[in-house]
Amino acid sequence: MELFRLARQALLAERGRDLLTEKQSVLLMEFFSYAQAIGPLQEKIDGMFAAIYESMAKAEMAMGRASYERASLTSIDRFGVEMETRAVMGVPVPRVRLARLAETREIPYSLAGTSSSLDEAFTRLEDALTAVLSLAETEFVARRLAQELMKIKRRINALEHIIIPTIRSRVRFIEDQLAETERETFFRTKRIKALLERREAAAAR
Amino acid sequence: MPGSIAVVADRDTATLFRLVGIRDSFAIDEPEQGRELLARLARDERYALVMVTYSLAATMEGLLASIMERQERPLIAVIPSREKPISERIAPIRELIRRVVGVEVRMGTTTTR
Repeated sequence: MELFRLARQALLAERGRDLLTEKQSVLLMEFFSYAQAIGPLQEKIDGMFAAIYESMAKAEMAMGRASYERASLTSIDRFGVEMETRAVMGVPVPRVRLARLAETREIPYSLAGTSSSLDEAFTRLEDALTAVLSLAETEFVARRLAQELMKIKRRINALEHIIIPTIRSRVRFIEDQLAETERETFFRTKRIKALLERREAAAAR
Repeated sequence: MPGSIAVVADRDTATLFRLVGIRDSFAIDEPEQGRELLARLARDERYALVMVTYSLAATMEGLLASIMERQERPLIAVIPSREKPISERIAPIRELIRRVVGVEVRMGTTTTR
């Protein structure tokens, strides 16, 4: 009975290991698709920010340092981030979206002597933030998938090197014991048979 | 209610981001101050995204990684500094890949045994 139970356990452990290995390879592909997306996103963002930094340098020159800094004090939040959770291969990750909080027209300092370069930076920021958000999300997902892969690796290793060998050795032990008992029984029956035959022969005489 | 965006940057860059519409742009003069601020922003529920300029981020990659691996909000993004484009930031991603590919190599040896 115990043997049957163990055999079933071994089968289950092996099937578990196979399923995990399968999941691991799918996750690995998913991980790489996110990891590879990071580089191009970074380059795109570099270009966008270079343009913003340039416009802002021009704006600072046009406005003068003092009014440029004064304007920054009356800053309002133009953007927020909407966040929800989705699952990539069963791993929960955030999905983010840029939300516009204030319209460009409501900017308080537009009355003062601002420059067209500032407006330029303004319009570019929205696209830049959208790209930054998708980079942040991509890097986050890649890290989560990497963590998940490490977890699966540990589980596969435990099954492969500890659980499955332990069950196998127990199965072998029981099988050996059974074989031993079987041999013993066989010899005992033989000896009893011989004994009986001798007794019968003696009785016949 | 959408989450807020914060910027952690050098003084000039923080001023710039305040101007273009991110009010919570914090100016940092030294790395130690940056790490403290970042740890505080990471605990603040209001923020959904914290952007750190690469010059500062480079001094605290470990902290950034631990925040990213521990919590999903706020998201952390490294943005270009004026003098330092983020396309140069490949080490953290390469490290991530090395960790994951290490799995594959080790798995190869276990399955052939």
